[in-house]
Amino acid sequence: MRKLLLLSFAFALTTVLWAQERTVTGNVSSADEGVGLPGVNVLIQGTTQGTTSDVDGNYSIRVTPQANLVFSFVGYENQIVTVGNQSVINVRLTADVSTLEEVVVTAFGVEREKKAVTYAAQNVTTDELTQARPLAIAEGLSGKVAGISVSRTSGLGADPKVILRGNRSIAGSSEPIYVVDGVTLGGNINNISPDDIESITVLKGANAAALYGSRANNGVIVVTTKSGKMGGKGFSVDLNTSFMASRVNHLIDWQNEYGQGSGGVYAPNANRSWGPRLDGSQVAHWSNDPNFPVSTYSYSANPDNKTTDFFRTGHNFATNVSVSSQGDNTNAYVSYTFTDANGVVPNNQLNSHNLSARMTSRFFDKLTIDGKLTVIRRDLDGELFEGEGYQNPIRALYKVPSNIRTEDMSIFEFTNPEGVVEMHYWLPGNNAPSNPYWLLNNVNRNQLEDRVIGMLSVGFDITENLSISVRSSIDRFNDSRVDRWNNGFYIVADNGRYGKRERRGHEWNTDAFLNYKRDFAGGDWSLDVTAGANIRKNEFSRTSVGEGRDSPLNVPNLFAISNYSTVTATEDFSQKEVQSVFGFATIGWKNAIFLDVTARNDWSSTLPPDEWSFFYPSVGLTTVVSDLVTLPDWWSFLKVRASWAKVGNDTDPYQIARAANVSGGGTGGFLALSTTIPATGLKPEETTATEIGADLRFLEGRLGVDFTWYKSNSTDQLFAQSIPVGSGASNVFINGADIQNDGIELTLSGTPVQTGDFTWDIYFNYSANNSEVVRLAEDLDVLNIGGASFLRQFRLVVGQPWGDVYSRGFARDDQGRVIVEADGTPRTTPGLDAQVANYNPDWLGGIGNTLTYKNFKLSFLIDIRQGGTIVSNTNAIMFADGVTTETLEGREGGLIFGQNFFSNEVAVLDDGTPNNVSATAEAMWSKLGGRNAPVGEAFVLDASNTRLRELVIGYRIPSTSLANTPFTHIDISLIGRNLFFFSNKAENSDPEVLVNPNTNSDGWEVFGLPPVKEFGVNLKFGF
Amino acid sequence: MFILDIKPCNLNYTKMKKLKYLLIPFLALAVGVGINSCTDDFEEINTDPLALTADKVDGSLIGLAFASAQWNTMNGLHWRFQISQNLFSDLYAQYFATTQSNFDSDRYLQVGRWSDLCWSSFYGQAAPNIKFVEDFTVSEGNEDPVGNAVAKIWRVEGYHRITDYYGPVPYSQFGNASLEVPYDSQESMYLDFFSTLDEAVSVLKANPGGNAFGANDLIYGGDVAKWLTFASTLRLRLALRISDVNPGLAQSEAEKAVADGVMETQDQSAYVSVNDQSKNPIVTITNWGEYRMSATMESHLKRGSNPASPIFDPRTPHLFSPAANGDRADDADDSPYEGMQNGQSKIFITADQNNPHSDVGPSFLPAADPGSPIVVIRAAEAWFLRAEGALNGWNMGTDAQTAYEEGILQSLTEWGVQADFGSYLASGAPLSPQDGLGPVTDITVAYDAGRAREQIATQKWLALYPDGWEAWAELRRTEYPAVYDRVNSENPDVAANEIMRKMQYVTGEFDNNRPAVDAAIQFPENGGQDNGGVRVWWDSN
Repeated sequence: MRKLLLLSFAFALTTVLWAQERTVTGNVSSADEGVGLPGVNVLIQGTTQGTTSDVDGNYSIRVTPQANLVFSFVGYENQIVTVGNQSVINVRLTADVSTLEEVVVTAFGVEREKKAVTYAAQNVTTDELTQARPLAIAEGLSGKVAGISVSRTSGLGADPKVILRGNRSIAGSSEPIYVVDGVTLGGNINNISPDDIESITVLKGANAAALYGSRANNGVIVVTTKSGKMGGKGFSVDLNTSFMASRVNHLIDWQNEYGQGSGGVYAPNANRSWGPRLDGSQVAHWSNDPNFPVSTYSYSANPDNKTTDFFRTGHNFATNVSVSSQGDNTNAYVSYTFTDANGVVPNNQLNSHNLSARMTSRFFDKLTIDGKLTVIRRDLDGELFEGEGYQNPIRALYKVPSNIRTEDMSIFEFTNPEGVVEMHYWLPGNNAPSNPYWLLNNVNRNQLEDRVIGMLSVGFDITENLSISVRSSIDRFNDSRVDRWNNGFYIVADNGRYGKRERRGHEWNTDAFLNYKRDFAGGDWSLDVTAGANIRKNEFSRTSVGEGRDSPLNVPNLFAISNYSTVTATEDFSQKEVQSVFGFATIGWKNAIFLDVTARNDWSSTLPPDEWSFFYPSVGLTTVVSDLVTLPDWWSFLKVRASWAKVGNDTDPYQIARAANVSGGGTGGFLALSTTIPATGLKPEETTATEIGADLRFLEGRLGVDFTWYKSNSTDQLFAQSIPVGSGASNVFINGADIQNDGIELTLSGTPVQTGDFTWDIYFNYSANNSEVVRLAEDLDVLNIGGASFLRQFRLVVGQPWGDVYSRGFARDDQGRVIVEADGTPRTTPGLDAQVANYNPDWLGGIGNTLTYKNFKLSFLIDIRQGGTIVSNTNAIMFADGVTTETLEGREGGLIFGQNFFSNEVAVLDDGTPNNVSATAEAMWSKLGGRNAPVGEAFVLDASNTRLRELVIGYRIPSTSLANTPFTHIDISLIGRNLFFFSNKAENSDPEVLVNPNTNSDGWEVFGLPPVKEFGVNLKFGF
Repeated sequence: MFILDIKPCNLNYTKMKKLKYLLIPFLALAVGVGINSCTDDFEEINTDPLALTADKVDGSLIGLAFASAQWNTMNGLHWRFQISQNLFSDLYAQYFATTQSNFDSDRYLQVGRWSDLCWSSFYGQAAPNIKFVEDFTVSEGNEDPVGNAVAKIWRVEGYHRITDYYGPVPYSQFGNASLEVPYDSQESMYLDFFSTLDEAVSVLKANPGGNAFGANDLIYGGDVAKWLTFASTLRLRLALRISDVNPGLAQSEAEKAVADGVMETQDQSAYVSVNDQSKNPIVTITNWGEYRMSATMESHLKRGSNPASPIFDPRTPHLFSPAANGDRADDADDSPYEGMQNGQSKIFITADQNNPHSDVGPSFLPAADPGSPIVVIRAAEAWFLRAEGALNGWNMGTDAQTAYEEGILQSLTEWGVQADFGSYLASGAPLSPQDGLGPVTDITVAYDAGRAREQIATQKWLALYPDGWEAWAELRRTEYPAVYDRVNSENPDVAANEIMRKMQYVTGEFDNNRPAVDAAIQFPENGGQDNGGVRVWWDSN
């Protein structure tokens, strides 16, 4: 601090001194309390000269009589005083309500002072989202909100997975719902343009959500879009453009010492890398093209064939133009965003157009009409195939032996002497891997999405205190996906596969509510009551042809429905309706104590008639202690809050009757009973949540602490329990379970340095969540979620945390020692019966810093994920293929399990004597890894990591320089996302990347896209 | 806390006095904006317009469930077939060897997820529909004794297959809708099979002109006479199966079967018909290129005294296709029919094994889509069963040699090469498939009373192709035909020179039916063991 003050003085000295300077002294105090304010900036307007007040609020400065002094202090309104003849200037600063009284958006788009809110809510502003711009908005929340966990899935256009306060839903999603301008969306916000967003408020628990209805038990992400504030001025145009390049951060340590083959012998058509040392000798070429011009080539390493040769520099180029017109009675906002993005994997590209218009008008001072229409079109080409499937080019790429030259494999096909086009590949006929370049070009999936979100709202102020509002909003999507797989691919119909899927659906919400708001007893008491009703209709339909493997084509690789030799088509349809009535009331006393009560009753069509109706209430209390008692001067604000809530939930349609499915086949069709038996008396699900918290601010807001403790129990969940298939069905749909989450969230924010030109703001978010499966169902202590993969099973076990991952383990004796087979390889358990990983972190943290100096700004966000483990399917396959550096040791033999191999284990032979049998790396890794029976216990990675999530270096061109231009402001920023890891315990993979957002993909890493760093520039122009 | 026990259509104001003032205005609002806040149409909304519910199935639809039961019992869906049969019994019977290094089952390692799906394919897809049909056809108002009898016969067909794979399995308690489903011993199941066949046969005999399920019976179009022949042939198969463990019952059941009339000619054989939407699964899985002819098969197909010019089994070009790479250099012949040894190491299979070896025959190739009908039981098998019965001294209405030769003739007829019957009988002993492998056996085709048992079993093995499910069962029971040792076994309980004896129980049962499967392992038939070396009840010699 002292140094910075000196720096300020240094700046002051460089300024030319005028004549007639004299010393002005004075005291700066708080208008409320009359006490001196320390650290107030006192600046000569239009210069960089200034000083700060001392501990008692006194200051002293040399100025000319013409000068104006600017007194500024965080949390207070600036005050400007002309010096004139005065030699003593005492100033009383008034608190700036707009900064201390942060506003959050709650149910139905109602803005409330944050101090009146009885639960944890955290805001993220548009600047924070659009500067270091992620392609999917939700990724931009990571690290900025305590208690949020954001995981990414592979490739452009893939939805991230967002979890608030832990997982809780067994059969459904644990992700929050999204509410835009007061209305629930059917989907998420990832294809909405960040430029159209004014702010995001994250309501973390069920407590916040009792009013959003049955899906809100996972928290709510409330989005307010831009509309222009009424009563503003005129007309403005903003142009925001950003360009970000992306590069793969290569994390896998490929070995470049040994090449293709097995047992130390070169084999040109091997698909594993256990051949001899790469020695540069001439060896037979692998090509299966009889006319390939090269017959021998140098057996040497190609270290770039899996990295820079394959991956390209991706980009995300986003441009937004928005026009807003603000009048006394009407605001209009029109915005268009074009995004052109290329992924780091060739052919993976996305274009999107977002057009949004909103108009708000007020008539006769009483009637408000607000209309909005957002149209989104997103065209995703070369959508990446995820996971362990043979379609995934990453999988194929990673298997490539080091001796394979890019120049050879990038010639991915050839025409054989019979005139048939074939894959150019070293192991033709093998079912598993393929030439990665062939996959890129010949196994494609494209998706076109259209989405329309429309909203119309009419509000009328009946009296000063009573208002009524009616609103209807629809979120409608349709998308079309086309798969085109050439005939060389594994498990395809003859002559290639053409699959086409059309989906459409909507969520349509209509609500009406009546609000009464009044102060009583001279303002000591306030009452704010709302009663309303909502009707929600969801509809979904899907038609697909050729989705399976049963629609062979006549003409090879002519992808058209007319080219099917037989067509298989499937169709799905579902609909549901939920009706609700609700009420909420806030009673305030002296604007310091607030009592919130909510009640809601839903009727859902998906439940049995006796259970259509379910009721859930919430209650919350908050007290702004600092408004009631006098705290020490340094303690500016104290609020404590507590709330309790219950949220009910329904289930998916058509779960209450056993279906008899009809399908094609035979002579008159097939009919088969559904393998799931419906429950007879389904009850609605319930989440009960309690939270308490405190909001503390010190030193006039320069230091803030926000603390929350919460606990939630999700009970009576509706899920399918596996039953013995011999019982006549494989599942029975039941009510059960009690999934408990409890934890804390802590946010620290502060301004450690604030001088005339320099400000340093910092925030720190911390959250720790514990989960426990308290109960499943009667006679049920273990529940598998989703099917097993070859590697792992996602499993809930009573008494354990959510999300244990089971896999094959080492077979152990009574003393826990690993039993080694006669060939030196460890014995393994027969099934997926060893608990090996759990993805849940011990804690999550984010540290955000913003340093502002004059017109320069530097901000960076460090994102921390501590604890949790994942099991790596990638490693299981890569290690067995011998392509990573871990497989270099022991190629000639000499690996002894428990000694120099897995030395942390104690290993014995069958007779109990210490293991002394050695084996080769190839034998060891082939036993432990591979595709079909890998030993997950050998491939567990610590998911802890710390990364530089965002970096922004910004400069705002001084407005004085723009005086003769049409611009009102110009901002230029250099931006970076995910530039590097400070530490990553998982070393060769990014634990944050999941195979897909499904519940059971947590803790399972399988050929995800390698970590990508993004960097670029952002330009904002205001006209 | 109070409970808001109301519906918007039917407000109970007396209960809700306090909230009345809140409710009235917003209900007025709701009506005002046209919200239909009634739940009258909820049941309609929650009914899937694209599906039936079980309670809507009537007599006109039950045949579709029977068709589904037939198709699924034979694992008609391609991936179910691959996972249930092609990756297990087809390899254990050594019809095929796998060409993919990842496919551990050829090295006797039971890939858990596959066998789990094998189990659930039967219990999840076939068994519920069999039970549904059996129960439906005796339910009030839907009585159909003929349909019920045919469903019972089909139940025996389905369950003998699953118990032959696993030994004791859930049978009598199937469909108990409970969290625990006890297993039945294989012995008790076989006893029940015979009495079930008795029940069904007596009903069919009483309804000679009857029909079951019409065209939805994908095997016989509901023809009761043909189902009677089927039931007898199935009875004969099961009788021989238990001939080592209960010879007395075996004889009486076999003689009863023959007396009732078993299949004698190809037109009586049972196949599940195929069409575009329910193909022969082999046609589809062949496309995936994951298996080829086994070396054992190649040796059995090549006969004579001159390795350079073998006399091929006349069925060869129908059972298999020439290898894409043509004749391999390391065998003596100039023929492109090439087999691969079973149990090759992962490392060996690193190289392409599809092109050097023979794929299935033309009627199973994708070009033949939807392929030939799916084999259930054929006349040739019935003759070989009778031949073996005759050797046992049972009254099979024929002698062993006649039945043996008739079996060969029926099999050759099936593949359209009956004209070569005479030359085939004279074709001599098997030849080596490749250098370093001697002939798999020296058994001849021409009847040799001294080795008749081996000949019958060997010819039955050839005639059963591509039904590896049945072939593996009979390989276990008879120890014939002669097969090569596997190159590798990764299963500590079954050595490379041994035959896989049974499928281990599946993880799904350990997860969901633990007490029952644990109890089954303790059955005397299992002897406390659960591994591939355990012999099932009928496998006693």
